[in-house]
Amino acid sequence: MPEGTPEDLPTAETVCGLGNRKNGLVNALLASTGVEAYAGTVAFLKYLRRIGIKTAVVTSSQNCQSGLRALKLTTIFDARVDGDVSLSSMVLPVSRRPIPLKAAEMLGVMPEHAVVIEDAISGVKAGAREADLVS
Amino acid sequence: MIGVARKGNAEELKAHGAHLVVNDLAELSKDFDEVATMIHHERLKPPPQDYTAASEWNLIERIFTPNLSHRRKPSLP
Repeated sequence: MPEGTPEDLPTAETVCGLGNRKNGLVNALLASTGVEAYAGTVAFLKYLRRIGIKTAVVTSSQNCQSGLRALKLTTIFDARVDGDVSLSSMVLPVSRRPIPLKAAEMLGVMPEHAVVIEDAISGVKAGAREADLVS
Repeated sequence: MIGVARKGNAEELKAHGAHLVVNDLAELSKDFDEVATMIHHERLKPPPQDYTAASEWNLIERIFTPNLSHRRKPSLP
């Protein structure tokens, strides 16, 4: 299947077209059935805000904002680096984009003073790779 | 790097670079709350002797102000 471009229609038989079709389905599901947050994660984020620690949400997904909107948590993070932001500002492939470093920059935080929290192996790998870059 | 092992994959997360792994971020909230409580407690709690009940023979000084020390002398036996 050809790669296509991010502007491809959801009906296009390309990787990007398929991704856009998937995004449409995810957004429809978010609007119809909603989404459930991990209670411990929300409590932790609220705690960090309470004690003045800045936080950013980092994801390559383009459904981040709609997910946060469905959860009524759009203001819980100080910065958002997601598929929309990184796509518009970076030319690197998704897997090689220094997204956590971009988040630190947006927060005005030195990368060596930041903590990355991840539940995906790919995210842990990316965080560890970027930690090596700044150490 | 903190890993959250939602799928019971703590060892895998550690192997790929997580320095600390929890099963749920609530575990960190609990730890942080305990630490914050301790810091708050240590910073704001007066020394234990301040809890001694006041009486006519027991002067409690909550803030030491050297320039007012002369006021204490008449009350001392």
